[in-house]
Amino acid sequence: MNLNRINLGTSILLGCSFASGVISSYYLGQVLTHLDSEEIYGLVGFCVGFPLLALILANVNETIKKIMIFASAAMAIVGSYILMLGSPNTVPVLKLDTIPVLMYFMALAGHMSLFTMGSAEVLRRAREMDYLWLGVGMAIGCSSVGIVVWTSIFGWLYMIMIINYIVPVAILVYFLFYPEGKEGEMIMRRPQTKEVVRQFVVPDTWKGGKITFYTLIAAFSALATAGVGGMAMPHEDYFTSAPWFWSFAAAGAMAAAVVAKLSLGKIIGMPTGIKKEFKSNIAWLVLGCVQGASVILLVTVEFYVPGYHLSFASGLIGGAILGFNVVAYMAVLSVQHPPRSNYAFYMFNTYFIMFAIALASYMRAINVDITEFYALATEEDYILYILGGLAIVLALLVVNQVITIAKTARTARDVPSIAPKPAEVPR
Amino acid sequence: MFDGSNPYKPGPYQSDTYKPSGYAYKAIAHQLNWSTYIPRGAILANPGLPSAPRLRTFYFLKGNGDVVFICWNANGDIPTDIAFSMPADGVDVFSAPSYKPGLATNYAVENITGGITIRATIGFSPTIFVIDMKSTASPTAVVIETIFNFYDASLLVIVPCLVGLCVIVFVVKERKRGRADRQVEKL
Repeated sequence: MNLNRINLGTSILLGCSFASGVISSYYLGQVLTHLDSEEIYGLVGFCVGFPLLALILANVNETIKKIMIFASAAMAIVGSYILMLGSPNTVPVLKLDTIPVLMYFMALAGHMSLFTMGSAEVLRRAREMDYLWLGVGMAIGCSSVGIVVWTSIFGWLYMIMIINYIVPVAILVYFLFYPEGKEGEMIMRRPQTKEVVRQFVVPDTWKGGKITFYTLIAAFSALATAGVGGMAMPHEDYFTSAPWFWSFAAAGAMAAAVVAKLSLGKIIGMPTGIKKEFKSNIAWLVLGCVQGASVILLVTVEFYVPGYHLSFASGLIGGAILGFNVVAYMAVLSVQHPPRSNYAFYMFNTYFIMFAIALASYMRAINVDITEFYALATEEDYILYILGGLAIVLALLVVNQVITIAKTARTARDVPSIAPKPAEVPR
Repeated sequence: MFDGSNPYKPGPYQSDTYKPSGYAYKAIAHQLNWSTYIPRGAILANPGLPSAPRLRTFYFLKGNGDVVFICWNANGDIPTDIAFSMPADGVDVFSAPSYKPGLATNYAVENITGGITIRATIGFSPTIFVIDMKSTASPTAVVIETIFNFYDASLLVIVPCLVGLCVIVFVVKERKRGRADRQVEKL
């Protein structure tokens, strides 16, 4: 079994599905500003309902999961065709008719669920592959976003057309590299079976709460970088700023993959036990603090340092923080999975990242100028409340982790040091 | 006629709130005694192509046989290039912002055998072509050329082929798997 082929196939699927999700939601905000009230039901039904349905079905078995990957891609392509043939190709996006707008939401839902499945494909195999594959996949995705968003200079439907190349190519590579036969399916599914997962799970009873806080930080990070960072930006600047922003997101993603390899690379292969709980929580605490602090700092600088918002440095730093935080979040998830059904767990949690990026496009579309943007911080107290809320979430995460680390420290010291057991790799 | 205070101001054309001028052009044509309003007088050569320009068009015949062709890009701000040939001696073009004679810059005319070819960049504001038809020419439709380009190739050929390839690979691999499973069951 050539594992590099599987690694390549799954990483490309992840990267391309991330790119397609971000690109298709790039002008969602402008569509939402013209939305009729009844069309909101379509948005909720497609973009929340379908990923949830995909989550349930993709967990049944490998064949149904492959069909769900197909179904999501088909929805995305069919929806985008009807959108392209019935909508004006303008930036900013004009009001769309009801059918094209519903088809747009259907396409977006397909891309969102593809991303959740793409990330679950990589993360369930994280023990058997290097974290660098995760970084490479996300870096491919981020770079693609930068390039493709630039093409919207010719109209936003060109972007949608290019996604229709990206998705089939990713699925083609994925299926070509998918191991043969029923045996292949068993090999692919094996890392998520409860027999295997149970051997490597982190036995932490507070994990659910901590993951909730951590997901809030990661989602807010995406919202702050891709959303707040682009507020009050003239739409003509989207085309030129996006390549820089997303190329630095790719660099941030690779940096996070290297950090994850150094900090979590050995821990993920350790057998379950107190020692694993202790070590993984220390790594998680450090990463969580870095991520939370970077977001709080970024939002503070954006609002309170005159001239920083919409500057070149703002785009570069924001992009790097986005890439770093998303990949670090995914790496931590790959270690902190539940004792069963980790595929659904990955799909569920990574959905919030894509949801936050889609919401970020709405923030970019809010009609404020630069004076009104700064007024949000100087004349109103909104930003202080948001920063305070984020600081509380980070504090709760830190307190929970410190308690867990303190509880496990003594026992972990007493347990004889076991060399990390390499994950069982099928030959 | 177009003044906001005019209670008889024409309503929007086909829900296009940006262009309340659809009925207005017909009204002007009526007042100027331009002959028949011909809905199919302006057509796209290949309207089925995804890249075919989305134009709003009006076509009128003047009493002397000249054609008045009015069009704008329903796609909004991004201009679209069009080209059409007519059995004509010349053309007067009126376009935004001034609409004054001789000030339009968004077009070029090329003489060809038996007439002219007009190329123009059409924006969101209407462009008006008054085409001086040859005295011998009968009323001719304005046929706007459409070229099969990368956008059309993508949507009509490449993406469907890619999707088809994905389906073939999936089906072949699944059939192989089914065959192998049946063999194992037989053993």
